[in-house]
Amino acid sequence: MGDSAIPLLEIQELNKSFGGLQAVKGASLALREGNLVGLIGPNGAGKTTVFNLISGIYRPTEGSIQFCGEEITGLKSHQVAARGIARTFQNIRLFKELTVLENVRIAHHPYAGYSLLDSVVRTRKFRWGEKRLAEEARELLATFGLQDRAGEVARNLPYGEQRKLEIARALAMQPRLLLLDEPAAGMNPQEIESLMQLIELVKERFHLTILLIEHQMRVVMGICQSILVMDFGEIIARGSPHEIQRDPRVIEAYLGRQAGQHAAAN
Amino acid sequence: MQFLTRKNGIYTIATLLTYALLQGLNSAGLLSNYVLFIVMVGLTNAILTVSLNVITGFTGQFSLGHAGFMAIGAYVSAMFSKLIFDIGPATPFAMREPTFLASLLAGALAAALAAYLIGIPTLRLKGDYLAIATLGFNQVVIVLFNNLDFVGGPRGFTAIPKLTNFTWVTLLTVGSVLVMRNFVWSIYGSQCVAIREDEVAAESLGVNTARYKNLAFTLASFFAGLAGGLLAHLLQLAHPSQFTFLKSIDILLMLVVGGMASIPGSIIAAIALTILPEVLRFSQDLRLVIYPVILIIFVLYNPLPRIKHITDQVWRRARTALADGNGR
Amino acid sequence: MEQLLSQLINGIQVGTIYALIALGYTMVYGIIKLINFAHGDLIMIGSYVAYLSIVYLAVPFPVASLLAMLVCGLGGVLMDRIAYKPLRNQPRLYALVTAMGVSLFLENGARTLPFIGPGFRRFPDVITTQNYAVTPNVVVTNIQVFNIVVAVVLMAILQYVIKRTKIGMAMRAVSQDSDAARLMGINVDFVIAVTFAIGGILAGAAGILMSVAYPRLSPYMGIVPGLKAFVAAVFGGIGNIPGAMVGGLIMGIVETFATAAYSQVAEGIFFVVLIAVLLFRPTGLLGEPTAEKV
Repeated sequence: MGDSAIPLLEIQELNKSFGGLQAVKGASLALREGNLVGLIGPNGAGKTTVFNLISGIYRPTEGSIQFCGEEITGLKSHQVAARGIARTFQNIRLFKELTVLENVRIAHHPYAGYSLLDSVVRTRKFRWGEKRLAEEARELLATFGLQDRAGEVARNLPYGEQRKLEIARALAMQPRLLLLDEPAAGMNPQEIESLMQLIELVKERFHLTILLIEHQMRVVMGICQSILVMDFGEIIARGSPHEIQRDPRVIEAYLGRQAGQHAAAN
Repeated sequence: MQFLTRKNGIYTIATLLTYALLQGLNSAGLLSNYVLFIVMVGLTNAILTVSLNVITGFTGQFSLGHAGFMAIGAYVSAMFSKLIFDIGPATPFAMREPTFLASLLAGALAAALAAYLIGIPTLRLKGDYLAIATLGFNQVVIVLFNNLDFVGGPRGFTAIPKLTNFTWVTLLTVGSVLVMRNFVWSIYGSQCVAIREDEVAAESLGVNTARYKNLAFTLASFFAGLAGGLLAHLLQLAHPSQFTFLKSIDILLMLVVGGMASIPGSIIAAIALTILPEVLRFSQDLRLVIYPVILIIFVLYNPLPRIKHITDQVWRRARTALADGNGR
Repeated sequence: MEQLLSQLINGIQVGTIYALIALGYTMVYGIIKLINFAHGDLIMIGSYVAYLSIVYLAVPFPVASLLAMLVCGLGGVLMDRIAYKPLRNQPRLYALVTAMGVSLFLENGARTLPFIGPGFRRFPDVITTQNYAVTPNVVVTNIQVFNIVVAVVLMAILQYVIKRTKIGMAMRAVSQDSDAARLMGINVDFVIAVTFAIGGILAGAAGILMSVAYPRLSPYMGIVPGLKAFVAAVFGGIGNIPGAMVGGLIMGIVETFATAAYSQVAEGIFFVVLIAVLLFRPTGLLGEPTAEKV
């Protein structure tokens, strides 16, 4: 499944400063295809900033990013997306006034298969393309259990369903890399359980590589194959869930110096 | 190429009937030329409002300079028909109509080109800043035409051949609205709507927001230019004062009253707000006061969506009755 | 060089008037994100109130001015109550439309009134012109001095109110986050009304200054200055009070120089300059780029 010699995503010495504040410092990582990697750390550690840098919303102050061996540093958001990187947002950015179906359909735009002229003149190609767009969007919704809500306006969905919809929308792009920003935020235990299953299912079915920011340790420890820990803009630890749980630096980052020293002593 | 759904079919028949009725009454001398004139102006306003809707209602970009593109269309089309093709009363029909169309096309293309060029730097601006940049552009265009003596300068471009007639206006309005509507209700229009809803999210989904904003802007300005050309060949005059930001605001008013992102709303509001001042003419000076009051009441109490809601209900009941009647 | 100085003084004079008007736009925008298109017409109302009091009621000029400013302040509050407040929770574009409606209503309404009428009226000469020679070739009139001094004093008072009084603090709080302000016990509606009142007062003052310097009154006299002041406010960073002052001044100076240089296309030059600046500072000169949290 793909050339696992070249990492799917590589970051070298990524720096991002906002004026005087350095949000990301010397971040480096290599993500292999098919991995599910977690990115954790206290609030303000710079995790979302890393996502924003990868997806092209911010330009790095220094450092570089490669995707499938291709340099993507400094590319605009839509260019990064076109190369196969999709993402969700920390504070859900759905198209609130549009329906569930429309949200997913728009993301599927590269596969519409008809031109502007076709739309204006309403050729057969257009009608066929529209039919396909709708069908494929509905199929995707079905994977997420949202098919019955297809006609509902996105802002009327319950919170948990909105998060799922955002992921479904990202998948409509048929990406190779999926960046999930706190997908479990605000969910209750049942929703979290079903989300974990959904993520694993979707990863297998769509051959995805996933980088996941999460605060819910159950999710991180439960489905991530390896974990990166950030604090104050730097990656301070990386390893398996087991290793991370015992790493004194990680404990210190979350619980403070004394807890860290305590862990180190043991 | 199938576009004859039941709804489209009804709209088409209704439009044809209305056209035939008005044209017939006018030819028979029962309907004054003046009324037809007002209807024609109303239809050009409909083109303007629908096109502004594409930019503002569907793509969410606040443009206060639409009349500027109208001006470009008016002047350029008049330049072609008067100076280049030299159409006059002696020109035979077979020469006249195609060159008229060509002139209109030239005007519309000029407006579209201007929009494309202006759009590249300006559409990076957001919200109120885009508004004043477009407003600025509008005023620059006015100053430009005010100072170009070969198109009349401050006296305006006069003696433009009267080539616009009810048939042309109807055809071109229907055509324009169809094109814009077909654009909007397609995956291309959907990407514009995505930009309106959440630009950052749209970008993250691979939508080239800069390109689509420019596309909507250029397309809409093409039709604004077309409307300008039609009007110039109806009034036989193109004067800078017709295209100031006040006109841009007029179009925006029609858009808001008709409802953002509602094409039928834009058409109805445009025609209604063109007819309204005429209907109020009896009150002379007072109508200038009544018109804004009606406008304010309309916005405050929002009757149009309520009217639409009621008509939707009626339509739904009628359809169910029809369906039952067909034994489905 | 001396030409430059003269024009500069002219520019500052006009600029301070624009600044006063721009302040009204920017304060209202800062607090409820509305572009009050009818703001420019308050200039007209202020001018006519002063005119009518002086000519028909034989009121002395200073009193007439204060009266005009008060009426305009009240006018601002009324505008808000009647046309904008009901639309507070609706998309902004609706309030924009009612604002235009109010503007048309005021202009055309004034026109139909017999004592204002469609024609021009001449504002009485309340200040006899006196010239001062700053240098042998540069002349400043007392009207210009009056204009600039009054405007600057008003702006200074405004700054004091905003920075040093409780109501000023409330205004700043509401413009940052009206919900939080409400939770802190601030009567948001009252603060908004005060904002409109202050904006109106400044517009009235601008009207007086304009009428003294350019005595031709008409029901439509507020449109163009209003538009220019609005542009100035956005140019300086809409919602930003120092921005409005700076924007207004620069506007006045650029316009004066452009008119002096090539009056036919002065307005064109002006807008081209505006657009050029916006492309480099997309949120206006002093406006903070609103960093969107992603």
